[in-house]
Amino acid sequence: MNNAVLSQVLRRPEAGSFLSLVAVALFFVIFGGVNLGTLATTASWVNFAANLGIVAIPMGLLMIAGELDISIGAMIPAGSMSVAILSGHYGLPIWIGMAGALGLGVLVGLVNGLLAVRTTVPTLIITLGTLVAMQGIVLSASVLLTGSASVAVEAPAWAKFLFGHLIGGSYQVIILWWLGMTALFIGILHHSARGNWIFAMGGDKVSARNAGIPTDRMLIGLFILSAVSASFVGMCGAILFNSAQVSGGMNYIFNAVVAVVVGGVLLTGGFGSIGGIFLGTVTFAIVSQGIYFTDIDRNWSSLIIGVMLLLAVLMNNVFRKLALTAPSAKSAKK
Amino acid sequence: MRHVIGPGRPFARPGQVIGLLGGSFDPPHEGHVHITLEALRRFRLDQVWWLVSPGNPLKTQGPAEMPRRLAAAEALIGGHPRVTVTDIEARLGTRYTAETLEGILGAYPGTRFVWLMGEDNLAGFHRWDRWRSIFEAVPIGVLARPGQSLSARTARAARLHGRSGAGLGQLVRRPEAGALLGLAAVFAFFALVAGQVFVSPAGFASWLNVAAEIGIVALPIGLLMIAGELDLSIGSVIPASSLTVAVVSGYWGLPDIAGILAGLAFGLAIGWINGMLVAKTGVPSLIVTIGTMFGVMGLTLGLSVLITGSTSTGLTPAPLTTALLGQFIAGMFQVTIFWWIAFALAIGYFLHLSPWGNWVFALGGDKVSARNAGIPTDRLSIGLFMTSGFAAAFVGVSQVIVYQSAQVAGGQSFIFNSIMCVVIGGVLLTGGAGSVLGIAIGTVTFAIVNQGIYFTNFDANLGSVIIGALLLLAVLMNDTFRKLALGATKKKG
Repeated sequence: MNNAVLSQVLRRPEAGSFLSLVAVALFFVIFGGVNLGTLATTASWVNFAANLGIVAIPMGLLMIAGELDISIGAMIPAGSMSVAILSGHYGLPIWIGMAGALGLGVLVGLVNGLLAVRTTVPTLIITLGTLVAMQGIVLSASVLLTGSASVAVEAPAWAKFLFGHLIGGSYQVIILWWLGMTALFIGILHHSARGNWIFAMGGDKVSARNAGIPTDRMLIGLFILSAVSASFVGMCGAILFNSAQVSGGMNYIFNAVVAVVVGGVLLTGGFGSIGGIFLGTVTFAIVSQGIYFTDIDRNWSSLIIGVMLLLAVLMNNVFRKLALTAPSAKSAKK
Repeated sequence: MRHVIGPGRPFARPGQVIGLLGGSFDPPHEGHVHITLEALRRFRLDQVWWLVSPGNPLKTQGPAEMPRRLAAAEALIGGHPRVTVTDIEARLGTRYTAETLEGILGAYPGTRFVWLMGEDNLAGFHRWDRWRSIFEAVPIGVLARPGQSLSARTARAARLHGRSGAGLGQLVRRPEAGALLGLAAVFAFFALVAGQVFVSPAGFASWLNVAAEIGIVALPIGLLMIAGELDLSIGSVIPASSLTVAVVSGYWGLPDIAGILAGLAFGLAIGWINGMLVAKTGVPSLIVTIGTMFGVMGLTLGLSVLITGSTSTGLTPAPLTTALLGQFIAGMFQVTIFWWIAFALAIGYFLHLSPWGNWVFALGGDKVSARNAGIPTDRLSIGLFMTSGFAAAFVGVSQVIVYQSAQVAGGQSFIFNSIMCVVIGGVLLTGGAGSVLGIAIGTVTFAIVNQGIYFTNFDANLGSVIIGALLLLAVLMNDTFRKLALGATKKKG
């Protein structure tokens, strides 16, 4: 893939994110005195990237289609708590807990999707509603059912192996899920009809519908994917740490949006790529976790992220114009 | 009777909602343009057609010949992508509006039409031929002339129509109606469940104090959302301005006023940066302000540690400063409540009474049309972002005076909380609609739920469930209202 990226680097949606990644690496090397070899093999940012990446991909697809889903901030703890309450507190088999967690994701995604296609209200507002409601439901259900806000769960060996063990003692197995998901969605977004539909929806929804694309079904599907992915991340966390993680979900909202935007996706829809989202996620993870391995005071990491985001957005605007003027730019469908 | 309109008729797809503005257009003027743009925005029409009539049976003097009026109308509005000037009435060969409507409805099955009128027309509407059948055939959208509010309700047509209970021809829905209902329900609920404590002065103080802090931020956020924008950077500006005051007046020991001015100036500066980036680059404000949010957060943390070596700084404000910004009146009501009221009055004047208020609505309705209509959209956006930066800084400043210490963290909860207050208040980011009263009601509702839950035996997290339900209700109500408004007087056939 690297060759393809390099050959037409400037015209692809990944261009901006690739440059951001290089710039951040250079910055860390020059000002942070970091050893790139050490940084590249450090588990902390890879683990961080994997968890973020799994919610960033559906977020990116939604943004390409011109929508947003911030309810993921509640769905991560919801997935975590569901599996812990069902299989930990009530002692049901782990697969029931997992089905419960993912089923809840389907349900919330369905609500988001239905409201999105049935009303004219922006999805930011709709998913803000489900975000707050789910937060309250998950936490109060936990307190009501178990009497506490943190619940332990012990998963059997097979579930641990699939969803929650550390490879080589430090790499979370969720990294493999992230890589698999990335490969799968490169196939779907860039090499299938459905992928084209998503781009078309973000470009102009009315034209897309007139062209016979089932925009409502697609959109509902994307929201379900997003909620289930978030629930999956929470579920894996619970299985890995043997207890439910109720906090931290809110950070994912902004982190995922930033990763996606740094990855070259435009919030205005119709433009982006999975490869870009992948690179954006890696870049974000390196800035926020890799900074611990540099001489730079970690307090500045937010500033770097903010500046990087704004630069990436401005840069992406330029690249997008380039891409749209190119005679055969592949991803510039509108 | 089957009317034939023939080739060259305006194009409409089934399912579209189209506003019809009829008249002799002799000559076409500003008022027609105003009604058209207003109707596109308020009723979210897909198109507006100007039906230039061959002759107005009620105007006795003979109108100038058709082609000249068509050309004049075309010259005035022809450039607008969603407005079509048509001589469809002449093609149909109809003389009265009732007949014309019959013809149009027959020729465009599946397309929905709204009859648009200036309120001055409504006053004499009952003199129109078969005016009742017009009401029955299509919904009527009545719009005020610029600078006026609807006052033609006393007209005979409106009176009769109002009695029929069909939602009146006046489609201008009051955005705060739903919000008020929500507030009443929530207040009644907590007054019943939480009992005496909730309705005691201490109970009022608990939610008023919370409402005041969020409210000061929610007001400008509401303005931005009416204009179709967002500002998430407030979450970092609040702690940043707190810390600025604490460092300047506490750590460096300068007079309080220097710290306060520095804090407020910081908020204005961040607002200016947001506004400039949004106006000049065209990047969505959500992304721009997430960027400045992270940037300011890092800057605050880094500088605070660099300067004071710690993430929190203390401050001992002078008695006068405390009296103005940080005292508790009667031992429980924060003085911020009065500042909130002042902010609400100022912003209410700006939005609803001053001429700039209409610009904000226009910006949210359709930015391109707003710019074409001569509104300085860039300057206006920048001003709105500076207002929200200033308001956030003001909250930060008053917080540090009240708590006598500032911390790097905190403020993040304001981001979504302020948006929620605005949404519960009936402003749904769909652009172009909303009111300061609604935002204030939304804020109070939010604060009552947030604080009232502690007076009950329920788990505090259930408060979030109630807020979430209120938000989703607001979302559903918005579209229900729209459907009611557009469909109430529509009868099939």
